[in-house]
Amino acid sequence: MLDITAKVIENRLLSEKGRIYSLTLDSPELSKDCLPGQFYEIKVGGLDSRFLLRRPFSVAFCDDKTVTIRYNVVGAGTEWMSGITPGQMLDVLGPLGRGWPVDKTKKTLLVGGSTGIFSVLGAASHLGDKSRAVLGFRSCDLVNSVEDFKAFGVPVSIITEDGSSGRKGLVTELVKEELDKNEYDTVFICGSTLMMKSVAELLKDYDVDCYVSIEERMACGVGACMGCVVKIKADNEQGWEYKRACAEGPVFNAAEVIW
Amino acid sequence: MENTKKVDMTVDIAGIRLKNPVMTSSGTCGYGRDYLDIWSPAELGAIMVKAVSIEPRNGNPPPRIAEIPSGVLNSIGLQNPGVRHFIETDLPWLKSIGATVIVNVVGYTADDYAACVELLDETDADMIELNISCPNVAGKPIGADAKATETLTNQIRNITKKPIIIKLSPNVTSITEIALAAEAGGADAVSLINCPMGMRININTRKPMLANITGGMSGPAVFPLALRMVWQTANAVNISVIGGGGIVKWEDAVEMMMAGADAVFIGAGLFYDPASPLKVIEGLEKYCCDNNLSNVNMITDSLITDR
Ligand SMILES: Cc1cc2nc3c(=O)[nH]c(=O)nc-3n(C[C@H](O)[C@H](O)[C@H](O)COP(=O)(O)OP(=O)(O)OC[C@H]3O[C@@H](n4cnc5c(N)ncnc54)[C@H](O)[C@@H]3O)c2cc1C
Ligand SMILES: Cc1cc2nc3c(=O)[nH]c(=O)nc-3n(C[C@H](O)[C@H](O)[C@H](O)COP(=O)(O)O)c2cc1C
Repeated sequence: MLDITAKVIENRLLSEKGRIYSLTLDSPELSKDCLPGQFYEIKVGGLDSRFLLRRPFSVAFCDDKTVTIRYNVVGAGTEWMSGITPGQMLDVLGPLGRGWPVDKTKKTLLVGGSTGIFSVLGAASHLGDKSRAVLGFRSCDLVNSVEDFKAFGVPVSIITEDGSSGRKGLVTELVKEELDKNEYDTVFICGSTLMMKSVAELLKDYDVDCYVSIEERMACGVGACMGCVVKIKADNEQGWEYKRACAEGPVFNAAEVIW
Repeated sequence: MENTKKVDMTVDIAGIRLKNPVMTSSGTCGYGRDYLDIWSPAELGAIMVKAVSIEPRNGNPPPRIAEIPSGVLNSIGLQNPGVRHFIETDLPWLKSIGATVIVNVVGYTADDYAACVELLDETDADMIELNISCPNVAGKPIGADAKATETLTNQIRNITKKPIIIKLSPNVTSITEIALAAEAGGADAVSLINCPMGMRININTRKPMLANITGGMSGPAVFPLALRMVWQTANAVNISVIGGGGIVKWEDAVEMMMAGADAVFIGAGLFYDPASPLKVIEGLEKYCCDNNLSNVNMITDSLITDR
């Protein structure tokens, strides 16, 4: 984990209506040990910011010199981020947490919903054509990053809730169709709790390993404050314990999560 | 810097000499391992570890965190692996690296506190901080009642010779009344503030932001409240005062010491700037140099109230 100030080299609008941005940092230090599924905590609001908490974002992809994250403007912190200009310096903590158990010998299905697609994009960048992605969005305004999955050699199917782009429906339908092909060893899912829960439920009928990335509200991001816990099965009297999304997660084995 | 005399950064708290007056507060720095890439507990005056109880606790359901302007609301609910686990694993490690360890203890009953302290008394933990002020567990905290505070402090005083710190709650009518009760019960120091209670609502779902509905506030939002309470308390008691609440920068620590704190703690400030403890230590030293103070403890109580 590094606590550094890094220079922004790009903060590009990907989807005007959806207000989705791609932010790239020039930092060989940050990109050095970063694994897909891990995340960074970014300080927002500038000097003497009224935002005490740093904002967590998954690594979308990195090369030896740069790190890219992608974000949707949803509140005051991400609103501030949308005004960042190249050359600006950002305080970044990371890489944090435990990422996806990427394994190129395994055929992996990547399942992403809304901003959850950025975490699985990280896995796509490592797995390439050993994986396939199914992505769900609310509407066509929010569809983004599809070309990036393809550039990593990953075939993509899209589904939208209102049918404005790709098929109409929920991502679970695409997951079921893919799994019925009996090709996959592993499934990685990141999206809303509702989506992850229903996909994990569906997967119980298939012989595949399934991992989910859980984005819980967090404070420290490093494991110190016990703020971002997730209920996980455990070998104790009550049968469960609270584990930290920022330290033991955000990626958990779906079979161990108590939804 | 060469011709400036070196500042003596040590302070005495409850009869124990600390390397410097900067601590990290209970619940924000775990058991000392999580920030190792940035600072070591051995660099601090002391580390106040996350509360331990006689039996492990699950804590409250998530979400446990919500942001507030210049602060954070939490409802952790004292999740911890139990005092025995701490004594077996974290404490020996903390002592082996040279940290001064303040163990934050919590219980449902006076007997719970006593059972924990009996176990800790056998160890080389440096001080015991009785957390009688957690806002996130059901029932009226002992720290809201002067008589109960004095009785508990006295009961624990009879169990251990280790310095006892009483962690005070700001959720009281008179902070000095409780601080004096702790002193009367035999405490060696008081630490304050724990979190004032607060609440947030998501207007779209009409649900509270925290699963536990209410939570404790920390961060710069509570700094003026903490400063006022530390000032009142330091003027009332003769024992050591450890002041904190909202400290992020070294300037905040100077203010807190001027108001009467003998040492300071940083909690939620770590979330904003994980390196803040080191920056505060450095800043205090520089402030002393710039103002010709040979010892950092000369800042304590240096407030001038005459206009
Ligand atoms: C491990 C992890 C990885 C993430 N990766 C991405 C990503 O790659 N791209 C992306 O667009 N978003 C991602 N998110 C969600 C992102 O952190 C939030 O959208 C962002 O913090 C919102 O900040 P805000 O100030 O704009 O919103 P506000 O609602 O004003 O924020 C208020 C507080 O709530 C927290 N918060 C709000 N929404 C969320 C959320 N969904 N999850 C967790 N905390 C939240 C904020 O961090 C802040 O502390 C991730 C979250 C986590 C936990
Ligand atoms: C996430 C979190 C957990 C906390 N846990 C404890 C605890 O276990 N015991 C305790 O005495 N205080 C606990 N506190 C209170 C802090 O130690 C401190 O008194 C308070 O947050 C005010 O200081 P600050 O504004 O510097 O954080 C906790 C605070 C936070 C934010």
